[in-house]
Amino acid sequence: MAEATTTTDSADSRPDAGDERLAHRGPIQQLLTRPEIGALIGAVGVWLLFWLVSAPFGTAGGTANYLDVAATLGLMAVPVALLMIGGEFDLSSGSMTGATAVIVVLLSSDTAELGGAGLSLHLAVPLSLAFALAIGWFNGTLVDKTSLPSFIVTLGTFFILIGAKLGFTKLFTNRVIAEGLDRSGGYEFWDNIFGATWIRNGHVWDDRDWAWGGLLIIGAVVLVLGTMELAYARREHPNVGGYLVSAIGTAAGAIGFILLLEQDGKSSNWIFGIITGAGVLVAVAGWCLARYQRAEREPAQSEHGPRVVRYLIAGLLGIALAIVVAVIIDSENSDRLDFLTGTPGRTVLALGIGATGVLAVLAALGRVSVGYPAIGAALAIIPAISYMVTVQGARAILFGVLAIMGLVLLSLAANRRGLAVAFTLLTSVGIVVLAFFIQSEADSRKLRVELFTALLLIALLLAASAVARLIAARRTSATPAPTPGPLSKIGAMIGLVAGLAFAIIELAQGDGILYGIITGVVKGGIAAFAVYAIDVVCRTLFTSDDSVGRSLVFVGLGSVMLGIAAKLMFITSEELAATRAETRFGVGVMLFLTFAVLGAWILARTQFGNWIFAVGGNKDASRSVGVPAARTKTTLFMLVSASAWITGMVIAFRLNSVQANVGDGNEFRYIIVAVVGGCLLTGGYGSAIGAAIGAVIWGMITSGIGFATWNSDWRFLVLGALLLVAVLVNNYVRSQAEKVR
Amino acid sequence: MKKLWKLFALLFALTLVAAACGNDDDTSEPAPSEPTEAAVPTDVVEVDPTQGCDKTYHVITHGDSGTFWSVVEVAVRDAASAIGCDVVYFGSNNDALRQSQEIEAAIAAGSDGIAISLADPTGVQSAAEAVVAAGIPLYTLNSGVNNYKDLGATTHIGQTETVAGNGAGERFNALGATHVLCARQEQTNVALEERCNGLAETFGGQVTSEFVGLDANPDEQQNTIAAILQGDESIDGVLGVGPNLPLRALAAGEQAGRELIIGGFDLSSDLIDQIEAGNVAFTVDQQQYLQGYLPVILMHLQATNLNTAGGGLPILTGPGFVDTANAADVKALVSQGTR
Repeated sequence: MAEATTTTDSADSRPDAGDERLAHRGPIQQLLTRPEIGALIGAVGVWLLFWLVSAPFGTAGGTANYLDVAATLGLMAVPVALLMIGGEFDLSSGSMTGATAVIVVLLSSDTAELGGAGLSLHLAVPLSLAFALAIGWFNGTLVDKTSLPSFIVTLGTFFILIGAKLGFTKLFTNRVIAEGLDRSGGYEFWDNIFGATWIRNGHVWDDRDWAWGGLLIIGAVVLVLGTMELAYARREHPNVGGYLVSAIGTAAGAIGFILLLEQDGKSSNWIFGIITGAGVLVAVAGWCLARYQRAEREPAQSEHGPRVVRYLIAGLLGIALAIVVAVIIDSENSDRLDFLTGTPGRTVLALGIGATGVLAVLAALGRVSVGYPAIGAALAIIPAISYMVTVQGARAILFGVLAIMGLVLLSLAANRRGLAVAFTLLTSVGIVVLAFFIQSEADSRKLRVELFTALLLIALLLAASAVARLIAARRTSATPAPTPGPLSKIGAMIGLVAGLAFAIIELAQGDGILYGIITGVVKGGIAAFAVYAIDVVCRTLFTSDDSVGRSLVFVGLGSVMLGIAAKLMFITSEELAATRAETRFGVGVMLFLTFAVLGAWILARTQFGNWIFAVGGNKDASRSVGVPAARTKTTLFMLVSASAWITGMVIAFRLNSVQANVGDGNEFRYIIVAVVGGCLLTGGYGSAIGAAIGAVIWGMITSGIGFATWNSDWRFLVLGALLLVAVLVNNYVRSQAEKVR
Repeated sequence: MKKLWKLFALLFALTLVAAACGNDDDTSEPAPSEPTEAAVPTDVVEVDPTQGCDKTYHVITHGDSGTFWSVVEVAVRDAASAIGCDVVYFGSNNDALRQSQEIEAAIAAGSDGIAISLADPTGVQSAAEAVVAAGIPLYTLNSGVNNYKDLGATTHIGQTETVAGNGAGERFNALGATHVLCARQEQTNVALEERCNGLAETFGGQVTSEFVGLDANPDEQQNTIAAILQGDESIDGVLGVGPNLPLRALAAGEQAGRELIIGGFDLSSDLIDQIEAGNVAFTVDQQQYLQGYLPVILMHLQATNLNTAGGGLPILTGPGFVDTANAADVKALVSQGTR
């Protein structure tokens, strides 16, 4: 439906665009049309919110905490998302996690009165996997053979599993908890696998901050280069002078940055700050001059008239008001506003709720527009604001809202006048002003230093993009598919050799088979990635290859991720001395992240991924073009149960005892999280990475409310509101982005 | 579009079903670790008729065959052999109608004393009134502390949640805690709220009461407690109002690097192990053995000696405490089935 309208739209607005499949889509637009964009924006928003209100949330300990909650959820949400894309649901997935755990404990423990089977775990663990796979196969086959909705079939398995768990647990142990896994035979071996944890406090690395900072900077630079490569059209012969300018700019920026670090806390900071910023801008300008075709001055599609003037005046007014607010309202006063309390407050609240209801009815009848009920809701919020917000809080909120509104209006005015570049530069300047305002006002170091730095970087990025747009011409045709360079194969070989070498070293040191293998895989992977990165950078600099943009983005993202991983997984001896908390990453977190990447890879790169989309879109049509629909769906069901088995093992080996209702009711969470991540309930569309991000959002909210010491009574209200916002943003952003297409 | 609506309707129906299943723990039986949806048939225990007693008593509860009620059942049997009379125990498995029918049957059989639990006071009201009208001594046990007087029962044998919370508060005072987190595993369970309110009544320091996640999500419970601990550095004690939460609090304390004074509610063998090891300070035990034993003895005394115990007030069976001092003994008793 959406597709049809957008096609006609673009045909109307751009008659010369030709075939839309071949038309160029900029990197930002490509990002915005991804299914997981809403979840991504939501995740960033939630992270910022809790990072602002709570000190421990942003630390490695806080991250370990919410990732742990996200892991048991996400381990299931990723396969459930694949199943949903394939057009089916599995309502038994939640109770299946508990069922596999209960089975293992019951089969292995023989401590209770009636006694479990007393099997060795070497038998019990594979048996429970077999059980899970059998249930998955049963679900899939039944859905396929009977053509019943999977809702009904898996609802049956859901109840059967719940009843069987409770019944068998009580039959064997006469209790509702199955206990004593750690007393079973073979416990050590399996606990090494499913109970493995990475204890951060035990991994001291004093140079960690250099590694993480370096990786972050390299990653950011490569990301920016990749984005430009995707957005702008290459020249046939590079301009060496441009590269020279770029190199000089880079050197200046680097020197400025190093001096900035050396001069920490001195008043000359801003000089070096400006040198750094200018250096970066010069480097970007040089790079664009060297590589890309020159931008032609388009005849400005400027719009005169009262509208632009109104935007301009309103924008200036907004900023002026923001400054006035900041000056007159007391920033020290932490009393509540209390302007509307007692009976009047309650009256307004009741009026607001009543008005919302009445307007909702009118809106449903089509008498007023859909937005009207929001007026009632806004009215109802006023007494709540009076009760909850302090004077200084009101000052901050008012200033922020007015300033942002002003900036947006000014930018709109600039945009209408055809001054898009000016608009970007203006926003950049606005952000710098905001950063300095925050620095001068905020009490906490977090805001003064970290947020300040982040805002300045964002401003720099915006300015750089404006400079690039001034100089370089946009691409007009789609980017060609990336071609692997000569070093890629060598990189894979080197990675393999390095991985083997590291694994052997770890094994020789007696660190255990599992640890040796994982270390080998990870270190080999990093070595291969490094060679690949060098290959990509070489191709970028020395060939006229037009398709490196994607590879550059990949390398940049990978490098940033590695940097974050280094920061999270290692501790400096300074930090170790200062903390009492022990930060642990369970094996569940590692499996969760692996699942997310694997799921994304399957969907994007494999034949099976295409089959999933096909059977989810239209089963009969896909079957008639040769997709093995039944096999695909059954495999998906079995994938979900196998993940349930892994999740169940992780839970069982963490707790050693499993209550019969563990996991019950979580199937809805998996589905909700997948939907937040961009999956459609109707199938055929969605994303595995999105589901993983959704799980992280859920984890951040449940842990974040604890970190912020908010009252947990409101937990589900916050959760529900944020989930709705994520889905709405997803919907809106995507429809807007597709309209442009 | 049509397909989508159908899915929504199904999802909605399913939510209702799930809500209906999840909700049947609304009896006031204060053993939250015992989901009562077990499809185990109700059972009748006939105690051996013994010589020298011509009285017959009935204990008719809403209980199921879980660990909690099996202790009550053992207590009834022990009391019967102590007095040497016939005592019939019946657990209706949360079926108020079944319970009423059984009470009426006991009246018809000419019982000399009937003890019932009032998990659903209105459901068994008419049957209970019939007991009093027939002139048979009536006792209530376990749940029903607010209704036993109206029904005309002699007394109630049980534990009130508030008093249990009070006891925990005094324990924390004695252990020197200053700020206790009262962690709940259900969000809208009145009994659990009352435990936390009772704690706040007697505890000298600050109490923060929070829902930390369902028993179905143990990892979430642990991480949420750890988050709350790191969010508020002043918390030095955790009361988990169920048998699982103290264990989660223990792990959370390690994660946050904090020495905590941990208390719990009810018993599980993992919990007793940790109490024995000194990692958990205590757990509140409502001693349900007394709730089975005492009614039988009291009914016997009223029938044979015209004693009425309680003086119009309920007889409390708790809070009893399990701590390092008696953990080892209690552990043995748990395996005997009397704790």
